[in-house]
Amino acid sequence: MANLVTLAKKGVEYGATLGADQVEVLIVNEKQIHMEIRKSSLKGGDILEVGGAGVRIYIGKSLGLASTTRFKEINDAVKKAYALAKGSPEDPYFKSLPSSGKYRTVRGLYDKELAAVTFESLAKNMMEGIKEASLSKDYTVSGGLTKSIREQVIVNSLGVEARTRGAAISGSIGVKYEKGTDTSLGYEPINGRKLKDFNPISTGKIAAEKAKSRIGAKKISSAVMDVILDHKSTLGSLASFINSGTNGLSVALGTAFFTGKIGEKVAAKGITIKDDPFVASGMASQSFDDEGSPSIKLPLIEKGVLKNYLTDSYSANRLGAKNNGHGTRVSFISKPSPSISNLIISPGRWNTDEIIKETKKGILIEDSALTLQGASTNISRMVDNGYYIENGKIIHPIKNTMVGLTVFDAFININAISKEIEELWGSKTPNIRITKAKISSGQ
Amino acid sequence: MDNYINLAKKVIEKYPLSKGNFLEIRFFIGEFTNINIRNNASEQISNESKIGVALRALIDGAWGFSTSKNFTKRDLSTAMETAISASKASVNGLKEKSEVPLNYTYTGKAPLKIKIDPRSIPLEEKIKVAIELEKNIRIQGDKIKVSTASLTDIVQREIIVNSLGTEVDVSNCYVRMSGSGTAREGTLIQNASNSVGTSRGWETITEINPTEMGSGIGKRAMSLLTAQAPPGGSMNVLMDPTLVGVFIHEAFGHAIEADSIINNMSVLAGKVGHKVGVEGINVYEDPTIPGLRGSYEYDSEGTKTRKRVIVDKGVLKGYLHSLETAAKMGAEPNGGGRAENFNYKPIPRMGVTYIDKGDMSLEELCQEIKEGVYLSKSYGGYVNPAIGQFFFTAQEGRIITKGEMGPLIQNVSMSGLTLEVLSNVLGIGKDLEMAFPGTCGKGQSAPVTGGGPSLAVKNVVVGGSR
Repeated sequence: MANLVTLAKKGVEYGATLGADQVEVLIVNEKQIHMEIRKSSLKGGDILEVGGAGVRIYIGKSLGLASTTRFKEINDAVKKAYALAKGSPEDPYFKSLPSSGKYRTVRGLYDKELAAVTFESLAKNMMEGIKEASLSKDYTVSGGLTKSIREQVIVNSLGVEARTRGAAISGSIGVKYEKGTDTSLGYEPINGRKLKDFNPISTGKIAAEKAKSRIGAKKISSAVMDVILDHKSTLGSLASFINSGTNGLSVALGTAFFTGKIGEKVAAKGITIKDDPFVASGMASQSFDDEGSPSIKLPLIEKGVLKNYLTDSYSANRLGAKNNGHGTRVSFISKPSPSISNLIISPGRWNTDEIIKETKKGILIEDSALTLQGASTNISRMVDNGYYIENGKIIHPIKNTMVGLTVFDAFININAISKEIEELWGSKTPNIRITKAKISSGQ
Repeated sequence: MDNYINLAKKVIEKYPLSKGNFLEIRFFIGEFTNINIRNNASEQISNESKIGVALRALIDGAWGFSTSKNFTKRDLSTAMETAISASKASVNGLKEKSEVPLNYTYTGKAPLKIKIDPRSIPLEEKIKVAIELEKNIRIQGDKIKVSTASLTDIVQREIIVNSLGTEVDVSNCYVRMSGSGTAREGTLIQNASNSVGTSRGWETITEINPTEMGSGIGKRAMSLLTAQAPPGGSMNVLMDPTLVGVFIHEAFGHAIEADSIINNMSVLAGKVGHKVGVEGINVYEDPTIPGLRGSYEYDSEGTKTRKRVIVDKGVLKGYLHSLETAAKMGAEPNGGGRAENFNYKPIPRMGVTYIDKGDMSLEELCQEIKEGVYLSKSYGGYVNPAIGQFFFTAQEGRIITKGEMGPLIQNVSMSGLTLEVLSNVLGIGKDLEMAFPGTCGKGQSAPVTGGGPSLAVKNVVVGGSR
């Protein structure tokens, strides 16, 4: 296959010859091997080459987008994007695609050992993890694993020429445990960029322990109480809130819930959050964003005070703010939108044990996320995995239970942050406690 | 068609197979157009070309899967050899063999059955409709901060050939128009949306009045700014048909997809013939209803689909099958194996899932509820079929007091348990509507429709903040 940078450059040049004012070509080529495990048995393997090219063309302030799954048809996509831009209404807020910048190197994104490891070797290790999770015939174990080697190239007519290559492994082991008529689930993800960190035996053990500890889930009485989020739930919840509340485009549109709040207290005093795209071997670490703008470390909340919004080139231009390199694309087909890379939350002063011990009535949520529905500021989420706490003790697992509060209260009512920080795939988060949430359940 | 089928047959013939082994080639040719207008400006006008080939091999009980973006015999042979090597590499970890039924083959052609091909509509005309929808959301009040209109058309063709003799050429068209309005007052932000989606052609759009659709969305978003915060707790709930569509999809539909049954990951495994709901509950899965989003004639394995009875008078009757799950369970394949595109393998999926109508009016259902909430306009949801716990969201609702509709409430979500919920039905409306044209995610997306009549259910957990 031709060099991807050359292919992208040719596409950009072709767009210019058609008469486009600004052209961007993004190419993604990803080689994947994937395996599926069901009922402790390897079902099979996939060996795939996925990806394609996305083209953005501006004629004046009118945008056309086109994509293709075939690299040999990039010029056809350029032609289509050009035709769409010609017929598209103007976007008065568009100013320019980003121009070139200096990129900082991020360590550990491409591990040669991981890139070279075979399907057979990964499958052998994975099956050891499955065996570890299969504690008895009452445990049904499933899982999946994908190794990907991904190359991404972004070239635009303003001088951006960015290329990155990474290797990654992702997947999970899931365990269903049955005791009489009762059933529980344990799940542990696998995410990493280094082969030496791939430890499915440990993953399988954790998943089985979780399933075992969650058997006997009960409904509880509805009441206002505390909610403790474990590391993973803190990451899932706060990353989602930050992406909604500080998204530069939503701020420009007036629908981000933190619109107009820079410099104001938006969270409890102990909360300090930043985005760090340079964490070595982080799953979301990057030198540049998905439109080729340099990534930077960005303080978001410092001691409860809002410091910055996440921007890409479009939202920065629209806000009259600096582009801080957070343009993120779901795939090569889509337009970028601002989003966080690695969420870093500063530790607090509590031991996790103390947080539980000093909770009179509450629930502990594991491996879940409290997320928002669209632009609404209401949080109304089911507890996927949780426990009831009374008088400082974990009493029993819970089911059919929901959390209701507003996102403003979720930030302001954080009254305990753990000293212990867990690094999760590049992000670093503590356990936290939020007070005064409405917990509804089926009892 | 013949060219593709002959090409696939020639590639498959190259590889002699023992009994029980299986090869499949699926060509996918898709073109997607999306018009997105936001706040009186173009947000995105895009075209996607998705072209490729999916190749599967089942050798000695292990699956292998590969893809090719080129259609030459050489490229397909290379990809097939990759799929075969992937299946052979899996044999060591194999404890339970996969299989496909050897006695079912399908041949047929299902061309587009549409009046107006959306690809023939000039871009300006599509943009004009989207602008009209967006404008009518926006002009309903200054507090509407974001108004969006989206118009999507997809035309796709799958040609499926397998080593058992299946030769199917199936085309589908999906047209969808949706609008959304986000209103803000102070720190309160509320959203309202609506969508229309079919498997028909551009005629779908000509039958919609974008002015009415837009003003309806905008007015609802505005009115939610003065709505009460939603209540929380276990209560009686009356759901409108859009919410019932998502409810039956999440609460029940995923748990009858037979991959979760053969993998022991569904609470409905082994429950065929058991009572799972009240006597009046009948649930069907029927992709053969013409024109709905989620309707289709052949699935992505080439199996002809049909109406499937899921629950009859409260008793569970059957599951949704792919070739593999049908073979494992000794059932007849029923056309549930769907794949998003050539990058994905077919897995059991829903198409059109609905609860059949009863005989009660909305007023009678309200009386049945007595004290509780009326919830309407779905946002979607999810389920964990292994433990049978599901979640779904309403855009708005009303308090019901003494059997009468009361004040408006904001968006709120609900959760319930699959094995309890159909037994908790208090009343079934007569207003059956295939009301929710959505997109289901299960590792890959599939266009679906969910429907039903208004439904009154007791003891639903509502996750409000007060």
